[in-house]
Amino acid sequence: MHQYKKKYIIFSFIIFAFLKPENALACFSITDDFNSPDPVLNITFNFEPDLEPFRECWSGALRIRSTKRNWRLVATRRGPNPAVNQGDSSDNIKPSDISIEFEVKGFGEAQADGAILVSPFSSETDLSSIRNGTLIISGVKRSGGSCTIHNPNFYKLKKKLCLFRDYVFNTGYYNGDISYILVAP
Amino acid sequence: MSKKILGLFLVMLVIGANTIYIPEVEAAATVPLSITVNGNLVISDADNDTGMGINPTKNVSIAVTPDVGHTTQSGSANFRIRTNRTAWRLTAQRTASDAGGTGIADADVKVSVTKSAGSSANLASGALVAPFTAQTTLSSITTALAVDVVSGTAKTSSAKDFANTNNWFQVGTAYSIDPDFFYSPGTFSSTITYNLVSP
Repeated sequence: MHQYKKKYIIFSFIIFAFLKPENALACFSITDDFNSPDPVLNITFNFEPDLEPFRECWSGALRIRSTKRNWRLVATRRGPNPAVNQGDSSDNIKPSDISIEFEVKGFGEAQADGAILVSPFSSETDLSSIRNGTLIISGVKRSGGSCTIHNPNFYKLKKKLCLFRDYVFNTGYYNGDISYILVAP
Repeated sequence: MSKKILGLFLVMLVIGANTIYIPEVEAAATVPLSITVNGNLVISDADNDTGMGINPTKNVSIAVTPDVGHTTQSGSANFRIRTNRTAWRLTAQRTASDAGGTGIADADVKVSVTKSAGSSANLASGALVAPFTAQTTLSSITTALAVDVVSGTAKTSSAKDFANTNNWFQVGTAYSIDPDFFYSPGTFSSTITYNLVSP
């Protein structure tokens, strides 16, 4: 073997040995329930106040896959802001008017205690709890060993947002968004 | 010499490999939030203020027996209004009365309209419209056209009331007639339709 080739193999071995294998092979993904990566889930509330029923709710889910043991799910919220509406601003829909409830479960090799909802998201709270880069889940275990987005090992984050159909809210249109980012370490 | 340089390079490479910055791996999901609040106008029965009591039919029966003593006989029908619209009207229109041989005229039936509000409603959101600001008669409610009874200039709620317990704007309507020996036995009838409308 050529001397340079030998050195090249030795270099490569050393570099690989000193890199943490889990970093080198780490994979992260967020998908929807159809396994589409980096999904966009639209929450649409379109209602009018009425005597009954009182609440309007939306539910959705994300699948999280990580081959790293340490990971975090953080969220950033914008709005909801009034776009076109009328009335006193104190009667606009505010983040605190929208309740949010998270639930996380492990599927396949993903263990239930590997993803921990961080307070106040461990119980029902409201959207005002999500600001800029707010920690939602602290991940302490990997979901499995595979990097493919179709594998059955994942943490499932269910979300339920509810809003009361109150007569006091100004009529009109409000918009905003919540972005979730999976990061490590 | 070249071996020493190569060795130094190796050491630096190993240190570098161990401390090299590995960018955070990221994945993302976006959840756009869209909320549309539409306007609504609801009339319910004040005696059955639930979803089952919407658009009620309220029967008012007044039995009159003339006597020497003068006692006005009356009946009432109370409605609750809820709306998040900032401009609304409660109108009334009447079918032609059937005197039923009693000899009672529309002008003999007195009509009183009052308003009240729950603790999380805005009493000032609606104003009585003349002639309903004082006691009037059934003839003020015409058969040809709907007349305004209440004019609303704001939504009826003044505070959040998720259970719809105290956010009602109530319109009380009372109908009365004085017993008179002039009236013949029989049954006078008329139907008034109240509509909550928004321009």
